[in-house]
Amino acid sequence: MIDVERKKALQTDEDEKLLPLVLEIMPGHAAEGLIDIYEPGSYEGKSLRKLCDRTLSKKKWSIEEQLIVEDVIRQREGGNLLCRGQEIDGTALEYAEAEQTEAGEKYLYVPIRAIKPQEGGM
Amino acid sequence: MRMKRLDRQLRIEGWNQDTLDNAKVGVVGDADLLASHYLLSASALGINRLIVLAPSLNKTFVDIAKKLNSRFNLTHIEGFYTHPVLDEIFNGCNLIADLSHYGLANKLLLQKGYREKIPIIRGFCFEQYDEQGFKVFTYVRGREYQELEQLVFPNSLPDDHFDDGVLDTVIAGIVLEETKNILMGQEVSEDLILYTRKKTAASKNQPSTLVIGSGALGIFVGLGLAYLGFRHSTFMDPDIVEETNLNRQVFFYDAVGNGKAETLSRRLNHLFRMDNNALMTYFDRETDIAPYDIVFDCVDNFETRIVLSEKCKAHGKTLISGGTSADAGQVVIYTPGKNGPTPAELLGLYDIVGKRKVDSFRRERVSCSYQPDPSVIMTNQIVAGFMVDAYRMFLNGQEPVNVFYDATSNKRI
Repeated sequence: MIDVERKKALQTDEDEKLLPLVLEIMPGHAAEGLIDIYEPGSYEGKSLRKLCDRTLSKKKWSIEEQLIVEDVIRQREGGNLLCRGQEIDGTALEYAEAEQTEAGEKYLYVPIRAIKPQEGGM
Repeated sequence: MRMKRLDRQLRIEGWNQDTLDNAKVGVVGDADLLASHYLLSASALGINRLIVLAPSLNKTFVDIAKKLNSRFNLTHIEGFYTHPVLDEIFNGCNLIADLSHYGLANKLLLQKGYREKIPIIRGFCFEQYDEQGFKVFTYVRGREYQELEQLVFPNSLPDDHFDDGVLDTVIAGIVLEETKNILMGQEVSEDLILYTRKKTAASKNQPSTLVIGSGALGIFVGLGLAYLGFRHSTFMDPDIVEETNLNRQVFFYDAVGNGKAETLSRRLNHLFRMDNNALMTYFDRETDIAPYDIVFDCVDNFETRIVLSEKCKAHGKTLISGGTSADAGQVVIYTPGKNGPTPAELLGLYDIVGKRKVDSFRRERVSCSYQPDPSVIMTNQIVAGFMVDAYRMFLNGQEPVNVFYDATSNKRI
């Protein structure tokens, strides 16, 4: 996710929408999260929330990834999944931004954070 | 008495008050509010020895800092940091907070930091083209990053510069957080902490504002509203001031036993010639919010936050909701015309409260001294500053974004 050029997925050309979707679910403000890739045809029109649930319910993770999954689930208990500070109440494409790697490979990226709200203030 | 005042931060895991007690912190400031904000908050946190080199300090803030903390010892040297010969002023300091707006001081301090291995925490407001914001970076030897170029102010010598009381509140909080991290041997941010938004203009209107909760968030929201020039706010809070509040509720230094809302309203009226009101009552479903243009949520429980969300949605009122813990916080904005989720909906508060199996939305009030939740000044002043800045953006026709602050992350927001 370094050195990327971003633009809203919904503003891209039609052919650019046939890109893989990179979904990253981060616990709280962690710099890195759990990365899941959805190939074209497997995510369009699907609810972003359902894609997140699908990713989190997968079983085959490395030990490091499993720790992140547990951290996300912990944050989510008494918290919510948000994308750029907003609720995820639409399709993945509505939240995706087109990016490209240093090697020039294009993809759509959706960053999700599991945020636990803070209660205090007094 | 001192331990009781600091009680809420002593509850934080790994907290080491002794390092704060015994620290000596240098500050380089300007003829603006930032250094004064920092020293006020540092005093509340229990940092007792400050050496400040600045042409002037805000007398009111200095006065409050001394009343808050009987051990507070301030050495104020009036002037600018324009020559290395001034180095000896800071002999024995654990770190230096560089809050100045002239390049010469910035360069001299970075050199000093490199040469003597003293951490330098740099924080300042900036205005460039059509943007305003702030930058904070913690320099320790070995971190000669490219970002250092961005920390040196373009004007070498002291001159007129952009300053903003609301942003100063946030910067002072973040710099103090880094100060605490260095003194306690905890990790500091690895990144340049950057906040920008489009320029804003002063509002000509005098909106009627309701601030619910007059504790740590409410105090700094009230202060921010004063900086914006708003004269008429209503502060609502049924609680009285307790000694354990004084590590963060800076305006209540002499008000233990008095009503929070009344004390805050009176103090702001006196300091800023405002015309605020106080209501010593709970906010509940019967509270009339019709007379107000905007509502600030500065409460300390999700149950009231849900009621606030529902009432503002039903009455079409803009709601700016803040919440904090010892190391995190959030600002969520509800704008009625946008048809977006309320703070309660966005944050999933219904689920959280539902799991608590609470039958009534108004939880039984208990004295703060029996609530073990830790709390410090920094997150409260940071979140409150962002709440007021969001309001200012809203009044200027900009779209404020929700802010999620985390003191343990590198970027913070």
